[in-house]
Amino acid sequence: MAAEAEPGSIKDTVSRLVLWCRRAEQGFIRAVYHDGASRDLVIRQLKDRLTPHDVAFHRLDLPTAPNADALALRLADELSRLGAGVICLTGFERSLPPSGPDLEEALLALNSRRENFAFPGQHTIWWFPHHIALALIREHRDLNSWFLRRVELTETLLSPEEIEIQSQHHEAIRLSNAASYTEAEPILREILSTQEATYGSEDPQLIPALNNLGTLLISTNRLTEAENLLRRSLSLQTAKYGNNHVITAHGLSSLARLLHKTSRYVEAENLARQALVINEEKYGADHSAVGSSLSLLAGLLNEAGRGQEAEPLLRRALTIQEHAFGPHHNLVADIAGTLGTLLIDEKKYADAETLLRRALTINKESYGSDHPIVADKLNSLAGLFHLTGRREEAEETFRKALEIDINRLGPEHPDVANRLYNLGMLVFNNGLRFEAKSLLLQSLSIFAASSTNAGHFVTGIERVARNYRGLLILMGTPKAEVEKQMIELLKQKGLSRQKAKQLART
Amino acid sequence: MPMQRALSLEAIQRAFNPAPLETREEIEEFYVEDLNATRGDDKVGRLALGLSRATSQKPYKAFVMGHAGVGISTELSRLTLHSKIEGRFRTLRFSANRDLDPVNFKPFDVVLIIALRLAEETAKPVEEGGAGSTLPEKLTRDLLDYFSIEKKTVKTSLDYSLEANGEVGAGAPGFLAQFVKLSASLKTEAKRAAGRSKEITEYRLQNINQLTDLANAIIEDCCIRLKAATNLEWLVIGDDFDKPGIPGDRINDFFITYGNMLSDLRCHLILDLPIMLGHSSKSNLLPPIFEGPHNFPDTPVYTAAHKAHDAGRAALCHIIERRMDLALAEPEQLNRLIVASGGNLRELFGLIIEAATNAELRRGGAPQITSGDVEPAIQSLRKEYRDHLGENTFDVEKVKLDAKLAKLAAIYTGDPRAQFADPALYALLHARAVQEFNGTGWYGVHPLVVDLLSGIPELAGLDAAPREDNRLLGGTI
Repeated sequence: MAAEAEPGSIKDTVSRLVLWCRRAEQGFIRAVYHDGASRDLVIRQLKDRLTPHDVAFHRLDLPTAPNADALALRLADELSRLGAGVICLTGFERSLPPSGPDLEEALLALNSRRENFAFPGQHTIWWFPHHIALALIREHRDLNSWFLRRVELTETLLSPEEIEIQSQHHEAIRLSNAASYTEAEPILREILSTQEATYGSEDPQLIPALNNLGTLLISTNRLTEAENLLRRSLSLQTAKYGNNHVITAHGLSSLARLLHKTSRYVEAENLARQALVINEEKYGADHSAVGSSLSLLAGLLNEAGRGQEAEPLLRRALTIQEHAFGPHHNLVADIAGTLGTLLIDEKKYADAETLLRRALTINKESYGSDHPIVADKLNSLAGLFHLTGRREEAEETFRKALEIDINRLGPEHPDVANRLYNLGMLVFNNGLRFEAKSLLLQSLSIFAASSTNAGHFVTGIERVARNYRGLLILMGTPKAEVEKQMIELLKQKGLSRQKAKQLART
Repeated sequence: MPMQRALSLEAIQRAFNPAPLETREEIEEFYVEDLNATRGDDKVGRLALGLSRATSQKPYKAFVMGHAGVGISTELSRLTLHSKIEGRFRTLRFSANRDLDPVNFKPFDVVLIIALRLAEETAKPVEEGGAGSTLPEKLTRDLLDYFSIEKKTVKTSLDYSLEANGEVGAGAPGFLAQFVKLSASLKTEAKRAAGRSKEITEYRLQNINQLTDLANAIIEDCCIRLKAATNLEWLVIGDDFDKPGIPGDRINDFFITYGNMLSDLRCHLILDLPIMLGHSSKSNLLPPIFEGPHNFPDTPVYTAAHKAHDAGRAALCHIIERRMDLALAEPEQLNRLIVASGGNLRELFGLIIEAATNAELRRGGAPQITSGDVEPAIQSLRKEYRDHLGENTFDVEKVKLDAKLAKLAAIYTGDPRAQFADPALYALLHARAVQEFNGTGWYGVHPLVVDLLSGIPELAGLDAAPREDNRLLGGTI
């Protein structure tokens, strides 16, 4: 009497999980996997097998959190939100370090709060990569045996080399999420150069490395190289998957984000709309991928001064992502933040403040208080304080955002320039013209250097140039002299004479 | 849905739910007395006796301990239903995992939780187990005042903010509602202590005597009112302090540094002590007023001489019989699972479910657990024991694998020197590679680990050990 399938095979694992979901009233199972591709296949097949039986099925990625305690608390909150059904809990490889004291601390936090993860009618499948499962067995034996049922998926779809590359990607993503870009970058460069040497530069296997490195370079303001990588990635995606594939949509969105950063709104909008159409066709109107596409497009429209078009898109995106991820997810925070800034423009300050504070709280819970994403929300909130006459609060909040960005992104980042500009305008309104002049000059210098690196004007530079020019004139410098000084400054920062003149006469 | 005895393979998963038995019905249906008997000294009887001799002026206090999965929580449920207890005590149970933030809790959280929960329970109507009366106004006001002053002194905003809006000396109508609100806030804060500000923690630790006096006054008042209304006394049981996820410094703080605070609490109190603390030299520092620690040992499946422990195996088989029709497995297969579990109930339940799953997934054949279903279940658990035995960071002092193997060999051969506690013994007890049994308090090697030792014939000390088919006695069958 042979077993139906080899132990540890995809088929065997699916059968065991289906049986467990149908037989047990509720509970937890520890599922170990060796490659993410086979895990994902098991999850898909499990969903296909259970959905006809009206079983609610969720895939929950381990939430982002600034420390182990917050991670455990957020996980409990997320699980409580989902209600009864089967939950595949994934993402340990992207959220937890591969080894060392931080992993130990995270497992300790999960172990000690494990009773908080139990909810009536929930079947939770904890998908642990093999190396974390080993740490669990070695260091937290009682947590391991808390999982009364344990399965190990040993069948792999990837080669050992591919599995290794996959785990390096996860580590790089984890580090990037924590804004540890200098640690993440060499990992991604090493993957890319190894793969290029092995497969050549036109192989689709390069896509994840090109994407991840490109995204990291956007975060660290190396936009020209980022654009090069993302365009290469998009070209490979289109060649392999065609123009209407969701993976291609992902590539289009990444490139649109970059173009947004460099003020190329028309091309960015075009790409974002293509991505939206693909995702709507493939997933339907209410899918979270559509929510992300809507959010991207609306952000672009808002930046281009088309807030009225952006608002309904953002509200639709907010509804979709709240439904998909609950009210405390970072994707929800992103949209709430963008909508908040849009409402500031519409002078709906009370609603804007509510949304921005909500976004800030979510981001702080996810990333801690000193993350650039938190700085971004503080910046928007400070802008609102400024506009509503709460200048002390505004200054304190702008300075906090500036401090975070200088510490985490370095003093030459365009986000730092943006904070300097906002602070400059605030102190100008407080009558401190000389301090304002100094802040705007610093801001313009950083923006100019970034634009030189990017080969395009980065978003925000024209506004700074315009106001710096106006301030100097207001302070009594003749218009011709102002333009001359600005052209010299901008040329020193690497801009061509023509572009420098264009900005100085904005 | 209440648990039911399994009459088919499909029902086994639900019938072997490892959750502690809580109600009289569950215990009558699924608990077997001979399990207690094979563990030797009747610990529940001993605790009940101690409680029956206690007075409200001299409350009874005791520690219990045991390895994870031996069923301490169920034994504590049995205690609350014991004939000497049920007519005299009303039990309040709280859990370190559910009611506290296990990583960040402070001793004052425990005292506050006990006081607030007792106040809440005592306020319930008599028919629901309370005294039907709320805290007197003075005590409520004292509590509100304390937190009001704290709020003003610390002047900090808490993430989980205390909403003690009452002013110092509050006596206005609605202050009971304020108390309810404060109580809810404090309970939430105890569960999520990670979000508490350092200033609040420092303030409370500086004022811990005042806080303890306040909590004690509440506890004492609750005990008096319950006694007056129902002639019952409050018995407080704190569970889950033995979960290894709780950091060592929290445990030391709670049980040792602030041990006097526990001694001073004016109620009967039984606490679940982490076994690693109970076994360590620090156990001498535990507050002496507490009886014990009473150790609930494992159920033996072998004697110290590596012969089958018939009574232990029979008790475990009776437990299985309460939960499933024995005809669902070939006769010898349940015995194999019992031996492989090393007598640990949680692992036994897991093994049975795994074997039943294998049987269900098997193509054809009788709807019964067979040898082919049992073998992979045992192999899989053996592999985890192997993975766990290596060097790990949890060991208080890093213990090398060689030292562990030498200790295992010495325990296996009954070397009396092996019974003395050292880091290797602690590490092996934590790994459940070594088990602690009743009577003379002897240690034995887990059958799955005996299997692993069989595979190292050159291991010093085991070369002369008797073998059968080249395997050491006392392993899986």
